[in-house]
Amino acid sequence: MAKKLYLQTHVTALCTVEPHFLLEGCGGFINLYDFDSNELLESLDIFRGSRIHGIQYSPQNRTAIVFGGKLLALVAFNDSGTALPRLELLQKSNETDWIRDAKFVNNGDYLIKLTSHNKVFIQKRTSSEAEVIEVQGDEQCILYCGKILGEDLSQLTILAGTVFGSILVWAASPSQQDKCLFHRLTGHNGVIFSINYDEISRTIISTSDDRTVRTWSLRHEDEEPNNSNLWSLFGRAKIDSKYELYGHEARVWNCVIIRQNQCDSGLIASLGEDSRICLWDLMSGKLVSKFDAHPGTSVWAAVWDSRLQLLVTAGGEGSTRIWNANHLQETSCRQLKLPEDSQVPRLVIVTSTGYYRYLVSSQLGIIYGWNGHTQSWVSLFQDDRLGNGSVLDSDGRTIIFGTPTGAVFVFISGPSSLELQATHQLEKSKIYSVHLVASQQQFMACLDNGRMVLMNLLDGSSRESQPRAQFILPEGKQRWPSCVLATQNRFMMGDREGSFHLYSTEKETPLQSFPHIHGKNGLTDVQSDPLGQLLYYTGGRDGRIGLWRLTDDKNQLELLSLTNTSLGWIARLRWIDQQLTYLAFQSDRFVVWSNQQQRSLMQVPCGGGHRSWDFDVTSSDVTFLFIKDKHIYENRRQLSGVFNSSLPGRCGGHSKSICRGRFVGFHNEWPPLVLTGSEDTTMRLSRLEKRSAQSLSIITKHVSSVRALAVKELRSRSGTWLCVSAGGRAQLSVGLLTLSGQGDQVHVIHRDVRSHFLRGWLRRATTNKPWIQGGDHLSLIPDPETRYMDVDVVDRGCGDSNFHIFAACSDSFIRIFDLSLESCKLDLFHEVNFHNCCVLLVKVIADPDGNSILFSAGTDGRLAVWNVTILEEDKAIDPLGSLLIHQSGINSLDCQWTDLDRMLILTGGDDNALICTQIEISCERSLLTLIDQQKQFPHAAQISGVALLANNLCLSVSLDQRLILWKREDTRLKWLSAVCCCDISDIQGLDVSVDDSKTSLAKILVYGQGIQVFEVDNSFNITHNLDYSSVDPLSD
Amino acid sequence: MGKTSKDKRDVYYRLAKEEGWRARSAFKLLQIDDEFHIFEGVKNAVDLCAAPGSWSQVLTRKLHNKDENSSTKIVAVDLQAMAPLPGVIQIQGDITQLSTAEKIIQHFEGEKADLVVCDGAPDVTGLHDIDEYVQAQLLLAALNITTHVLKDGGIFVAKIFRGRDITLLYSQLRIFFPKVTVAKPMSSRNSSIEAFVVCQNYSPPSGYIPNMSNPLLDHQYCDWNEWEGPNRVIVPFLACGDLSAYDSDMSYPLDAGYKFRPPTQTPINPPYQEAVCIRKQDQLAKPEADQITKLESLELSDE
Repeated sequence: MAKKLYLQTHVTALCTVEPHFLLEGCGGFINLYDFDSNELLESLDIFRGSRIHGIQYSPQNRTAIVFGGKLLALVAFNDSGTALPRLELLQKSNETDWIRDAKFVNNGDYLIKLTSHNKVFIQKRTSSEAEVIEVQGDEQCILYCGKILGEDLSQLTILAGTVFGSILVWAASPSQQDKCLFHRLTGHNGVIFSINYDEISRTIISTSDDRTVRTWSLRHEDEEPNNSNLWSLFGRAKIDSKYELYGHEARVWNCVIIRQNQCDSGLIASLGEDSRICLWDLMSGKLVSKFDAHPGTSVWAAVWDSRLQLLVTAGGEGSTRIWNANHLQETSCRQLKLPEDSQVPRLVIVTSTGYYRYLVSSQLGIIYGWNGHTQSWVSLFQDDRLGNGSVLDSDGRTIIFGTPTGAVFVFISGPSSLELQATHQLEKSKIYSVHLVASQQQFMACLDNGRMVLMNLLDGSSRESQPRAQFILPEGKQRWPSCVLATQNRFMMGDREGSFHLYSTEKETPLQSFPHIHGKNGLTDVQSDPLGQLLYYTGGRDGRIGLWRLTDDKNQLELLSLTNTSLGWIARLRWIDQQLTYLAFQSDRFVVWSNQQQRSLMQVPCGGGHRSWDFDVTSSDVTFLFIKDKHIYENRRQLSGVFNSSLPGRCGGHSKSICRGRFVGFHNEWPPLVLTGSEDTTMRLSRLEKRSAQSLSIITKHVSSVRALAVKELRSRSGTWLCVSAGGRAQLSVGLLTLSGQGDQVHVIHRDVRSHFLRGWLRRATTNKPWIQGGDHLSLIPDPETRYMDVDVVDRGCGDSNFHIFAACSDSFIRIFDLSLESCKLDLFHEVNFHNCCVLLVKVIADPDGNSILFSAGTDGRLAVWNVTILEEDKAIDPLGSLLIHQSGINSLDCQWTDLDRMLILTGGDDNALICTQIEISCERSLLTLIDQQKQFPHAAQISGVALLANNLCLSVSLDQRLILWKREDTRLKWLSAVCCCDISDIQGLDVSVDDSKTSLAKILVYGQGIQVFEVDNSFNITHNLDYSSVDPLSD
Repeated sequence: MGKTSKDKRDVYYRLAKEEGWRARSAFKLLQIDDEFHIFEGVKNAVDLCAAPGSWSQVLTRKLHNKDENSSTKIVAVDLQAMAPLPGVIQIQGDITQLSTAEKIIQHFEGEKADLVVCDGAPDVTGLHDIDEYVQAQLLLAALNITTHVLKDGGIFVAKIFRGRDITLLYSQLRIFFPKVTVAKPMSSRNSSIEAFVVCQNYSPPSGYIPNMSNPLLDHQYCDWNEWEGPNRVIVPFLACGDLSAYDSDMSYPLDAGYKFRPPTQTPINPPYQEAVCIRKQDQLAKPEADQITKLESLELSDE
């Protein structure tokens, strides 16, 4: 049987359970989380592949009603207080129509369901027989949403949003007398996607296809009815459209009301297809805040927990995120006024140790310290030289100032005060920058003309202390370093011109220079990787992150990758909780960005990057201090509100559909990693954990969708994988993935080897960047017409260095590329036009004689077989033969040798057919003969993935979301009672990782709108030994 | 992306503009006809969910061209407004209303239709189960009105999404039509879930009385075994369009002298019209907090 192990897909339902639990619907699974411990407590597959769309928890009977599509389940929440709480599936039922809402009334005695044809079902729970009363609304049109109001049968009121854009308010009573359509609200110009009612303000809130949020207020001319008397409340009210709120740039799916307490006027959080959440003031209709909650994808669900004061949101990339007051409101910045108005602050520092948390220097050279107890600035030190024009560097404890007159002051932030440790008088030259080299108790100062001196920190007492080393920067307009990193006797420096240099203490000039590697506006920070030896990250004002490796002799830096981020200007890099975090500026905002979570953790509107600022994280809080308009501002938040804001295992994956997924093995240890390529133009390497997937690395080198992937472990280098990706805009890219570490500490390095664009040439005839071996997309002119549909890679047998890459192209060509890893060359080598239609797949396997056999197939259903063992550049190649197998496109293929020259091919097509073909291939005689063929039509939709496993087992998966396991006898496929309903839709294919363990045969990766991993074991039985219906439409 | 990117990538999009079709879907109906000859002997035809009208265009060209006999009638029904088409009677109405069926029959002067086609589809949400459900409801509504207007032996052609529970829909259609085939025209993309059901030889169960007051509900699985079991209805599949037809997945280069053409018919009153207009004028709501920050800085600079 196939067992579900891991799932990452749209999260479409959320519900909080008191006191601190969360229920989440992801596919057909209901997951239980504990907010306190941030743990996944339980994961139940209740709907077996059918999606959960709503969860309503009833605290009275501690039961959640879970519904989705036509399924409804009751799940009990058992919390004994001693053991961990558990979920228990009480019952599950299949309804006649799509359920829009469900609710318990009369203290849980009755279960009410509202279906998509505006019909209400009233079911008594206590009676043993299924007594169901049906109440049909007067209007029978299709509902896109609905809400059941009322706690009692006698007051059941339905709010229904129709496909025609109107809102119906009606009393759902079994008696014809009481059943009544109270109101029909019109105004929306499209389908209504959600409808909610706020009891406190008596407001109906609807969201729609027309991209608006609308509020409708209830008004009573005579005395106001009681809130519990709904029929009277709605029946006698006049309902007016109050606000039409335009703020989203796409459809608005849903909304929730946020109220910190009962008296709060309330906010509407609306969830958009544009990935944003808009917060509207319920009373005034003003937009309070708007933020990108799930970049690139829809926000499907949200829930507000008033007790914990948390907003939880879920999105299409499979993430569930927690937002607290820090994220929801612009936390105001506090101004810290200097005691003397005449003093203008110039430089600010946040210390991590010592008595004074903040330090500021003024234009006249006064250093003030912030006294946290008296909440005021205290003048600590004064020296005229520290006035205008001085520069500083700090590690939170040691602070060094460099002055325009060539002096350097070294301070320590001590437990009771700021201590001056040393002063140095260097040459009478302006000091352009100072850099602390704390690990070596040294500092570096840059004088005029790019001259730099390395000094010991505390040698200053002797009047003319000697530099430990001297360096000189290459010529440039702004000739001083912006960041310095020391590692023993090597210094890495970035400068204001975006260049990166490597120095040795023995040499004044750089060992190596990379001019303008981070654009022209400056390289801002360089940090070493705490996990990877000799690995370094750089960030720049071009918004890119560079990954570098220092060679073992430490004489060369190698650029592994240069990654674009969505951030405008990266100012600093920090390792926080072992995660690389970017401190960046985006237009007028300061942003703390988590690379792992792909979201901003905090934002401060500070006016932009051109200012003195500092940032520090302690065990309890996060502080951002900055100067704006000659005033000092502090933005301080609790640490817990900034970090720890995603559920475990719910950081999310691709924001769009996944076109290809491949297992990438690792030290033969389970679980393997998964590499995926998506329409969102990125590739992700993910680790499977906590029943979901966690992204380890995001590779952003494609300009369009990544449609095809091929991976191959290098034989000579264990843990290093050649990774070929291809996709839209005729881009083919080669990278090397190196995996190291073990257990939880997997470390991934992706190195760009080369990218190739069809008919793409460098725009500039000459380049002054010889270190870039491709990858600089901007200077290439891509051919946008052709898409690569599939790729495969084959070793040419020259010891991991030379490969052939085969690409299936949408312009009917099969293109063959020559890749040399040693010389980093990737060249188009051959183009073959045989199929005369879009080529969908290519696959190369070796035959027993060592020949390489290529299979190619297109949208016309024809499979061609080629001998590609020897390829010569100018010699045309012809297929050994071809077979018309399917009526339309062949989406997937797998093959196995059954004999020396006999091969079994399993194909799945767009015509819903699963075809097992046996052929004879003879390379010597250039012959392809059909031996036998059997067709099956087991799926209701196109088949997108097939695989041949060991023990004559086969697999097929289709867009009908069914994964079927077969037993094969020659070309006949025998039905096993092993069908598994996948939780992801739009399945694009599958991959297999063969397992050596005795209990399990293989792990299966299925990808599409998300990924799901199954385990196939031997525990199936051939109960149905029947042939599947094999309707052949052509023999009709 | 360039103005002609879509022309390069989608040959049928380009051809539709060149040949004056309002949408590329016209080719789908033409290619279905190549295989099934659905227009043979058709006197009265109905196009449900007709907007923007490309299938009505096909009907007029195919039916009016064949014989100049003016007795051929084509009725197009849609809830949305549609730009007028010569030779097509338009009804702006809801296909779930009996009155709409009566109006159609009125136009046929009491006769029934020989052919009903329906290319309607909802705006997809991105959650496939919802999209498939709404599409199925649309198809069932179309089927329901079809039972009122189609004559025995007639043909019904409709768009479906081949998804998880599509077999339930097949079994529903089988009740009314002994011959149901899934057709996939060459002009419909290989990867897309869209396909068409061609239901031939309309023969309702004996004693079936068309009824508009209750919507047809789609079938459901009886138990969990059916959900995962083998006894699901599988209908035959047929690829349509001869081998010389263009491949919708293939990218074709443009001729050197290629001239860009705007679409034949732009959408009329789409739901997002006003929102797009407001956005273009930069009138979407902006967060108050930003305004507060701005005010603060103004005050400060005044100091």
